[in-house]
Amino acid sequence: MKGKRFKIFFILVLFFLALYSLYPTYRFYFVLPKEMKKLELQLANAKTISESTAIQNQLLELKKERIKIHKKSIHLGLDLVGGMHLLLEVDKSKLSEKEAKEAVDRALEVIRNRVDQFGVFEPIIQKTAEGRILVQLPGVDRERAKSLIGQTAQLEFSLVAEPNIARDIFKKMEEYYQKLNPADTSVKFSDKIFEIEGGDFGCEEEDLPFVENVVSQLDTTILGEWQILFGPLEFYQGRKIRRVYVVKREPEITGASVASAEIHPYSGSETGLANTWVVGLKLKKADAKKFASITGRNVGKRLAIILDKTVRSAPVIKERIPSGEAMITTGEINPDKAKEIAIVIKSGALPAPVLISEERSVGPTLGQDAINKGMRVIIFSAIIVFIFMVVYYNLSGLIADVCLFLNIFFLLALLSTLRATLTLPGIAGIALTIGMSVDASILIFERIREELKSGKTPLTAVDTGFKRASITIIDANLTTIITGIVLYWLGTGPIRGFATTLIIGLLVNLFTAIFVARVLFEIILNQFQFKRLPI
Amino acid sequence: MIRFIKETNINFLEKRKIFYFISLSLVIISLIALIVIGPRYGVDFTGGSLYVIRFSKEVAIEEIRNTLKELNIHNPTIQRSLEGYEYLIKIDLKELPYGGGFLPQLIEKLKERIKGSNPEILKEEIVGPRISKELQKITFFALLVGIGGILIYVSFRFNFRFGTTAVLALIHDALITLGFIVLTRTTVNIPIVAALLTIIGYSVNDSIVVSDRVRENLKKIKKEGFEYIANLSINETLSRTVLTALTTLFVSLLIWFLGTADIKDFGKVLSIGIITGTYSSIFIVAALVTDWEKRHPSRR
Repeated sequence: MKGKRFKIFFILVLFFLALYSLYPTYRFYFVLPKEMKKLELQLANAKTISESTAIQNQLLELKKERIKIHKKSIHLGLDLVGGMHLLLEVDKSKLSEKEAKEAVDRALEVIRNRVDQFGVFEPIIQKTAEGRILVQLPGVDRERAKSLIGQTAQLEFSLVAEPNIARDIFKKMEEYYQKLNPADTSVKFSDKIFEIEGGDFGCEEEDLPFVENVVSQLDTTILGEWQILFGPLEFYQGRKIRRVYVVKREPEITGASVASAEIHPYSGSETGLANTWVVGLKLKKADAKKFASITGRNVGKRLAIILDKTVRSAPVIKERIPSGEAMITTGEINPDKAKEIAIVIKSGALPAPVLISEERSVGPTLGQDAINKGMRVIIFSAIIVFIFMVVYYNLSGLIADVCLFLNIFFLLALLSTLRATLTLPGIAGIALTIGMSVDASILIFERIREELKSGKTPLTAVDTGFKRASITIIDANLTTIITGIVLYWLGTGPIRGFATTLIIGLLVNLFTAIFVARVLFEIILNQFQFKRLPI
Repeated sequence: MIRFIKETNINFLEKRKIFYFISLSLVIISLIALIVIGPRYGVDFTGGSLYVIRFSKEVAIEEIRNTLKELNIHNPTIQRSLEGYEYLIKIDLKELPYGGGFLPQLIEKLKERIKGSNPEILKEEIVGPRISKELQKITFFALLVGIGGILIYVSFRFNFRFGTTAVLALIHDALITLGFIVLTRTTVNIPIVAALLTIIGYSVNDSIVVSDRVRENLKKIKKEGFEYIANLSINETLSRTVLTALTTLFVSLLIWFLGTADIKDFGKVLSIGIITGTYSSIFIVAALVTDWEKRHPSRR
């Protein structure tokens, strides 16, 4: 009798521990969103200033609590909340051995800086065992995040060639092209690159791949100290064009010299740029001096500001610039692009380009859809199995149902305690746990029925039933757990979530179906002294 | 007391030749399907990219194809999903649009071409060539380790004969499920492999229940022959074998019919696996052990 009291006490303690560990999850997902919505509504209807500040303070408190308890509540995977999973590989092909060694760590640091400044809630940025970089960002604007992470952010300031030098190079390019394609008379290369206002050159957007292809074949006998780069897409007299620049291959100054990058509205004299955003750069002290002497020596020439091999702008140097200040124009009224450029320049250039070797992204709609449907599967499974057990096994079935409930309850509590991530396959895993966990009860009950039939009293029948069936249950659960472990090892993200719920669910099942069920049987048998056990 | 399955006394073993025949034909059909048709691998294993786009109305697949052509994608696989106006676009590794900006362009073009269709990207998956190779390798090892792990566990827990037959049954279940996957043109991705592995772990359970009972009865009943005892054991455990399979089958059917695209196929494969697993533990496992015993008696 004493032992039994202790067992009941033990189960109750576990129950309350589980309740305690699930409370933050309940508040985070079911209470806080509602309260915040209510407060936001009140805020919109607030009449006095003091009223609205009071509500704002309350909202702030809730937001603080939200951040605090998020760490203690069940984590939902990217496939449920929506977001982006990226696996990046650093392209080391152009690096020296020493550079290659440090490249991944350096890239990791740069990407972390960028994501931090972008402001993502709980990002994951890790180096994997294979030397790749794993980036997981819940609920972000994926295209923006990708362009933020993916750009190398090589910033260079290079002098632009005088128009006659450029014309000369384009002419050589044409000769080169004709020599290579003598039969090709329909395409005239000189039509592809044309002069536009202010001594600039341009090419049609649709000709870009063609021109780029020819440019990539040129070598130093044609180019000398120069290289050919392009500007961003722009509209010129109703046509989509790219500016074509001939600039020095060796940059005068690089992004490493930049001390700070801030965005502000354009304040200069060019009317086309009014109301647009620019990124103001401030150079480090020593580099500012260098910049002053470069600009002093080249007054009247143009200096190209190049980001990742795209010429952002090429202003004319009007005078020596002693302040070490420069700016990158975006030509956009929306500040997003300027913000992005400022972030990538501030957090430094990547040591080498990064390639996306795996991406798995889920939009927010699909995530919500998955949660709803997943919940529906769980609820229907539970209802069907609950009813089946009661109808088929009577009072004993009810005991199995209590154990089933505890099984799921403990499973969820453990998921939140272990900070495991719940994914869509994980939800399927919970549903499957419902189906598999009553298997144990069925094995026990069928055995008890057999023992009763052979003439044993309810008490002894229950006793032998549990003893005999337990071995089989342990066998059965262990084999499934073995495959669960293999799955955990095989899987990334979502499947790992399935393996986790399956393994924990089956382990908990051993406890609820064998231990808890037995205690419940003992209580009932003691309380009611059945002549015939309702099983 | 309700009983779906009353006390039975079916002579399962008498007709075992028929079930051998059925099993063997199913396995052979599956093997032929596997070799001749081959599984349809998804982006996880082939590499490439997959986009799921939801429109607000019915859209002709030809229109999507033409839009993609404008973006220099000439050989996409486009499929209408079973749910709403959702379309799956799969792009080969060869034509994979590297660099950003592809999706926004695609959406813009789709909006232009198919007016009022409100395309929305639900999901985007890109798997590079190296990752897909790694996934192939790791999947192969996972299946091997999974089966190996069960084999070690079962042979450690049971004698050699039961262990071997249980694992044979398990391979039989996995092969038939694979055949089903190939014949229904189910796309094989990591979740499908997960379902297969789960089946491997789960379907051996029923075999364990039957084998446990045979072993228990062998100790209890000394005067009857092996075949009688094996048959008795199947009958005695029949109701629990069927019931445990049923509860799990309920759930996997629900996952199949109520789940979203990702876990739908998972539920489908699981359901078929559970059915074949239950079938093999009733009709095949004890029968094989009996035949083994007949050829090479281990008792008395």
